[in-house]
Amino acid sequence: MTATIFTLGTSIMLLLSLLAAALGLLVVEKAFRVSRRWDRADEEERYELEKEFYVAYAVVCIVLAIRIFSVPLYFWVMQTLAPTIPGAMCLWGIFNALPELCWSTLTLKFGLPVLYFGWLILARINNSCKRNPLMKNLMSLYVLLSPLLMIDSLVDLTVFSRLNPMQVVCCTSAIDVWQRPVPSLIAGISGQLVLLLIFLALCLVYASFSFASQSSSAFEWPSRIASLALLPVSILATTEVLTPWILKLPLHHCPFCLLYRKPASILFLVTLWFSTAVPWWILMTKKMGREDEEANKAEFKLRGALWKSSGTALVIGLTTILTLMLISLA
Amino acid sequence: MYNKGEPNEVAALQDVSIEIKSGDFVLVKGPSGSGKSTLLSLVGLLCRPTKGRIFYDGEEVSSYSDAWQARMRREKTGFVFQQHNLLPQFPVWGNVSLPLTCRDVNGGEQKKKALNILERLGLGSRWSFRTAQLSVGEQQRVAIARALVTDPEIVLADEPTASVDEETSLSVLQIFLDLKKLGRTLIVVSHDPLMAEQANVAIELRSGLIKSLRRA
Repeated sequence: MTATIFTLGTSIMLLLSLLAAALGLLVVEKAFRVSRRWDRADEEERYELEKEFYVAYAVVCIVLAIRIFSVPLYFWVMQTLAPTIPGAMCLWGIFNALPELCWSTLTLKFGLPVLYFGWLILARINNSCKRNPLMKNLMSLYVLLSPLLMIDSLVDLTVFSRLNPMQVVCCTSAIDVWQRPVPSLIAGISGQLVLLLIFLALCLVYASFSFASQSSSAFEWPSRIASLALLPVSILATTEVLTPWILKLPLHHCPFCLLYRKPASILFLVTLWFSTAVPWWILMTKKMGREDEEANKAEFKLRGALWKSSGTALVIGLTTILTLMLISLA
Repeated sequence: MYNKGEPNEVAALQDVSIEIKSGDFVLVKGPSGSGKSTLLSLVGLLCRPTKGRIFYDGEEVSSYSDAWQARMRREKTGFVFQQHNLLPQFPVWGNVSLPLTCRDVNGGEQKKKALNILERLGLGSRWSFRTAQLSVGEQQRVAIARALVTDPEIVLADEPTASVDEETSLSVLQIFLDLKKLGRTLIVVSHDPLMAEQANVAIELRSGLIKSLRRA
């Protein structure tokens, strides 16, 4: 049996995960009590619950900040382990050192921060109100989030305590030999070009819906549907077109190599993530952030700003990736 | 009401209804335990009434969240405590600039504002001293400087001249009169007859009740 890889990065990840899990667990009971008692409490008890809320709120903010900060750190620390894992050149190979855990939990790394930020956005609305109208909703949501938060922390704890320097296969042998999901020709046109055009068209439709949603709620559900459609199309476009074209390696489809070799593409990933997360944050705030008139106003104001940011972020991301493409094609 | 529902329950204030107008100089007096400091704490949003309401500019602020009340305290009020509550490990200017640290004022500007107010209060040469190196009267003026450095709309002072000599007492009164001229609202707990002469509203409390309320 080989020894666990132990570096400064992995030890920081272990510490942060442990801290987040411990703090997160510590505050669940408080959050549960506030959410359960609030409606039945008289004025005096509500004052006591409010004090408990402030403690819970501060701890939850720290826990969520740790978990959010841990996401980029997770990928960065994993990438730094490449020299210690024989055969690994990028994250693809490193993930293969613990494939059952790393691959299956990859979606958590992108999905859970959407919920974490959603909670923080609700907290932002609550803070802008004079009477803490979302206190109960925030605590209830945290109680629901806490199992996911624990899983998130436990995944990191397990990954970084079990990674060992075993021989792995990396992206060149894993990706290029497979049959591609997009046919080389569609109606006589290059399949890659068709996919790229679909991706660009969908991005433009989504950005337009986002901007339009600022002034009309009729565009909100179309935006959500477009954001869902954009997810698989973006992944396909990144692996099948953007990566091989930008890296000038026609048979190389590894998105991790794109992110590593062209760091500007990280901006594309982040803006795309942010942009597609916005409709779901807005759904959360509409359902849980409109407890009274004041919260309603704050939510409405924030909603407009979020839709605008969503459209703008997508335009920035798209510009970045198209610039990288043009540079590589030039 | 303190310790509500317990054997040592105390009604610090009862049936107190006061309207304070912007620019008023309010003097609160009464014997020890009459509820003066509680009244000041309620008006300054340092505690909540167990019964009753507090209005500010027509808004009922006593039902606001703690966080919002803290924001109001930070932005609207300056508090001079009876015991000064200065931090001995900080220099004079550090004590005075403390309220500015919660107001997004940068370090240089904080020091500048602190030195300005210290100069106005005759403590310009003492800015770098530790508070323990100052006389009681000077410490009181530092406490006043700390309350005024944010240019608050309302200044609340609990016995500001109780532990100072006559000369310092006069200078404190002069500071308050200057503030009144600037339109600030002053609510002062004091037994000083000079303060009583200058205040346009005088409230006398006895066992948590208003014994007399005089508006000049």
